[in-house]
Amino acid sequence: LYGGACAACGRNRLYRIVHREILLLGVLSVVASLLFLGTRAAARANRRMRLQEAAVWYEQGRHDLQAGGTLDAITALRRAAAIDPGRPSYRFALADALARDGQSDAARQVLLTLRERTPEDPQVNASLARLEARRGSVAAASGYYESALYGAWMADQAAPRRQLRVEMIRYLLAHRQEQRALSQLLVLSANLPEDAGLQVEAGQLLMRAGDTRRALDHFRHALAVAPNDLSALAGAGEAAFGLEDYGRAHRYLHGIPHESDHLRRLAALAALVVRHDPLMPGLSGDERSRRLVGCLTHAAARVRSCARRADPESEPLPAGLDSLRAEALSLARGLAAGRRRRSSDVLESGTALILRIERAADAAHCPTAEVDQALSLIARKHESDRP
Amino acid sequence: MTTRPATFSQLRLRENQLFVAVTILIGVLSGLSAVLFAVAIERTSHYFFGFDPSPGRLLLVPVLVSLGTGVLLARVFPDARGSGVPQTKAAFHLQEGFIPARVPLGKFLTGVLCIGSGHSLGREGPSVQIGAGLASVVGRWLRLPSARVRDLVPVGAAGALSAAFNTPIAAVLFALEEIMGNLSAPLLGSTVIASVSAVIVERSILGNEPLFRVPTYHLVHPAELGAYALLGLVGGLLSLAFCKSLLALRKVFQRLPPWTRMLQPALGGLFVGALFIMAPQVMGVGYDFVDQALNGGLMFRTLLLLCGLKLVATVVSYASGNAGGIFAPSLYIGAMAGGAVGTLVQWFAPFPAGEPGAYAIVGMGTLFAGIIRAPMTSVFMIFEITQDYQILVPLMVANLLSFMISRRFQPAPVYHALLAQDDVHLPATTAGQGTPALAAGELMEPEAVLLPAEQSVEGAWQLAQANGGAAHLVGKRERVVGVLSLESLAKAVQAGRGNEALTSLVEGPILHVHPDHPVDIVLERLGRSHGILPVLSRHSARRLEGVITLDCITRFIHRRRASASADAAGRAET
Repeated sequence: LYGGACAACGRNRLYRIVHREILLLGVLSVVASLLFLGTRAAARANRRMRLQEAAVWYEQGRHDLQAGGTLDAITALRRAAAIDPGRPSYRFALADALARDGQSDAARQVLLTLRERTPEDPQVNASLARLEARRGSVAAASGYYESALYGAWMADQAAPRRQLRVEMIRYLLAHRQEQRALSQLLVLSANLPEDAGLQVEAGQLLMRAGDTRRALDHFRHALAVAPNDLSALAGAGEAAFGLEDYGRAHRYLHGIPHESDHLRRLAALAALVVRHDPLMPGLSGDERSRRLVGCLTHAAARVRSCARRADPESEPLPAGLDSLRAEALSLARGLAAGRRRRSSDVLESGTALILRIERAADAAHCPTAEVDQALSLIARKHESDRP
Repeated sequence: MTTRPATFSQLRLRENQLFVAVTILIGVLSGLSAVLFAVAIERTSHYFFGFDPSPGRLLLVPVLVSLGTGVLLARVFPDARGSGVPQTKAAFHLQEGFIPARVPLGKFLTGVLCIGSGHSLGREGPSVQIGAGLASVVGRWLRLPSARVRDLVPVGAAGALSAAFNTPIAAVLFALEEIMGNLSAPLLGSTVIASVSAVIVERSILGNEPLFRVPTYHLVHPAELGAYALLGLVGGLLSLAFCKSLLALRKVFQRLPPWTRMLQPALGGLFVGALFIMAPQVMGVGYDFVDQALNGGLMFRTLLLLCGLKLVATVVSYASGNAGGIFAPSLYIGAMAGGAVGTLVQWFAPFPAGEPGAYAIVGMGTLFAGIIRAPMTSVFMIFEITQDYQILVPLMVANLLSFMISRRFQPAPVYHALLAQDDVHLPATTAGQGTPALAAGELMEPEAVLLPAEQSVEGAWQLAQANGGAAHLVGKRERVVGVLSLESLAKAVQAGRGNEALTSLVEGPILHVHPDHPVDIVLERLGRSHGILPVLSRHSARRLEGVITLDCITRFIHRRRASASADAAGRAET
C-alpha cells in the first residue's frame, strides 16, 4: 500500500492514495451537505404536518370539553400534547381537562412537567396552586401561589395578576393564615386602581384579615369614586363601627337598605350609641348631663328588672350589683338635681360606672336589650379613650 | 533516499488525520440517515393512516404493505429483515466490516414501509444497520484497509444511534458494549467523534429536545428501593418472556416451507392489524404513549393491557420477518410495566411512594437491560433520554436485577440467539482476550469424508466401515446435518433400520468448534465427541471448514517439530 513510486507523477504511491481520499472526502462532504439540506426540508415539512395534526386534536379536545365529554377531551388533548410537546398550551389544556375529571394526580404530573420547562409561568403555577389547595396542602398551595404571583407576567396582565392575588388571599383567609394574607393585602392595596369595586373588595378582605383601619381607608376611597355605592357604604359603616367610630358608622349605615341582619343590627346599635353617648363631640353640658342621667337610669333599671325576673332556683344575683345600682341612681339623682358638678371627671366616672354595671349584669346573665349593648359600647369606647 | 523516512511518517500522520475526517463525515452521514429514516417513517405512517384511521385501514394496511415488503425482503434485501443490530455485529466480527451497499438502502426502504405501516417495531435497530452500512460503503469507496473498514462499522452505528435517540453517550457505550463487545476498545475516540457529529446534525435539524418530557422524579422514601427491586424482578421476567416467545415464534416461522417466506410478513401483518383494531396504541414505534406513561397519564388497566399487547404485537411483527428493531418496543413494554408496578406500589405500599411515572422510567431501563443485555448502555440511555439524574440509583438497582434474571434463564443474549437461528455464530466477548496462541483453524484438516444425508443407514454403515474411523459427518460440505458414530450405525442396522434415511438417526445440535476457537476449547470438545470434531464457519454454522481428530493434532505436532528443527538447523548454519 505504501511502497513504490507513481509512474505518472514520480511521487510515492501513498501521495496518490491520500490525494484520492481527499478528493473523495470533498465529494462526500458535498453529498452530506445536500443530504443535510434535503433532510432539514423534509423534517420541517414533517414538523408542519405534526403541528397541524396536534392542532386538530387540540381543537377536538376543546370541543369535547365544551360539550361535556371530558374523557374524550382528555384522549384528544393527550394526543395533541404528545404530538407537539413543545406547545405548553396543549399540556395546560390537558391538565385542565384532567383536573375537571377529578384526575388530580395526573393533572399535577402534567403541570409539573410544564413547570420544569417554564418554572416562572404564572398560569402553570396558579393551576398547581389550585390543585394543591384542593388536596388540602396549604404550604404547597401557598408556595405555588407565590411562584405564580412573582412569575413572569406581561405588562398588560395586571388585572389577572391582581385577581390571582385576591384568590390567594381568600384561600389564606379561609385557612386562618391571616398574617400571610395581610402581607399579600399590603401589596394588593398598594397597586389598586381608582375603581370602587376593587377598593371595596380590598376593604372587605382587609376586614376579614383584621386590619379594619386600612379597610376603612379603602371603603372611603371607593366612596370618593362612587359616593352612593351601597357596598362601600356598608363596608365603611362596618369598618367605622369596628373602630368604635359610631358617629361615622351611623352616617354610613343610616338610610341604606340592609341586606343582612348583621348590618341591620350594626346600624341600629350605631344609631343608639349616637343618641345616648354623653361624650359625643359637639354636645352642650346640659345635654351631656341629661344623656348620662338617662344611661345611668337605664343601667339601674336593667339591674332592677333582672333582680325581679330572677328565678328563685337559679343563682342569686351578685351582692355588688345592688350597690352598683344604688351608686348609679345616686349619681343620676345628683346630676338631675344639679347637686353634682358637670365636669368631665363626672362624665368619665359615670361612663365607667355604666360599664361596670353592664359587665356585672352580663355576668349575671341578665336579659340584654339593644340599648344595653349600646351602653356597653359607649362605656367601652370611652374607657379605651382614657389615657 | 535520506528524506524518505521523514516523508513516510508525515504521510502516515496524514492518513490518521484523514481517518478522523472520515469518522466525522460518517457521523454526519449516519446522523442524517437516522433523522431521515425517522421522518420518512412518520410521513409514511401519516400517509397510510391519516389522523384517525378506520378499523378497515388498521387491519388492511399492515397486510397489504407486508405483501410488498415480503417480496422485497425475501428476494431483493434478505439481509434487511429484523433489527439490523445482529447483522451489524456479524459484519463487524465475521465479515471484516463488509456490509453490501444494498443493505442500508434496502433497510431504509423496507424499514420505512414496515414500521410506517404500523408494525410494532422500532426504528433504532435499522438506523444502526443503515449507519454501519453507510460507514462500510464509504470506507470501501475510499479504499481504506479492511481493518479500517471494520473499525468504521461501530463508528457508523454509534452515529446513527446517537441521532436516533438523541443520546450521544449511550450511543458510544452501545457501539462498544454491544457491537464490539468490549468496553475498553481502542475505538472509543472514533465512536465519540461520530456520535458527537451525528447528534449535532440531529439537533440542528430537530432541535435539542429530549425524546421524552418527564418531571424530575425523586426517591421519596429509602424503602422505595425495595419497590424498584421488585420492578427489576418483573422487568427481568418480562424480558425473559419476550426473548423466549420471540425466539420460539421465529423458529416456527423458519420451519415453514421456504416458499412461504414472502408471505410470512403479511401473515404477521394480518395478526397485528387485528390487534390494532382493539388497541391502536401499540402501532409502530409508540413513543407518544411512552411519553404518556412517563407522565403518569395512563390508568392501571390501560398500562397492563398495552404492556401485554405490545409484547405480543412486537413478537409477531419481528418473528414474521418484517424489518424493524426491538429497542423501542422494549422501552414501550418497560414503561407500561413500570407504570403498572408504580401504580400498585402507590396503592399498597406502607411507605410514601413516588409517582408511577418514575417507575415507568425505571421500567424502560429494566426491559432494555433484560432484553438487549447492555446494562451500562441502558443506564446512560435512560439518563440521557429523560435527563433525570435523581432516578439513577433506582435505575441501577432495577437494571441489575433484570439483567441477572434474564442472563440466568436465557444464557445467550437475544441478538446472539437470533443470529444462531440463522446459523451465524458470533465469537464470545473479546474483552481482555487476545488472539489465541493456537486456534482450531491451524489444527484442522480441510479434507473430510461426509456421508450423504439421503443415503440409507445400511449403505452409510458399509461406506463408514470402508473408510474406517470411529465416527463420520453427515450431510454436504455446505450443510452438515450431524455426526454419527460407527457404533450407532451398527446398532441401527441390527435393529432393522437399515433401509431408513440416514437423517432419521441424526439428532440434537452438532458438537463443533469454529476456526478461531483456542486449543483448550478444541481439546475439551474433542474429549466429548465421538472422536471427530467438525470445524464450522461462523458465517454459516452449517458449512464445514475442516475436521479435527486426535490424528490431526498428532500430525500438527509433528509438523511443528519438523519446522522447529528446520529453523534451528538454519540458524546453526548461519
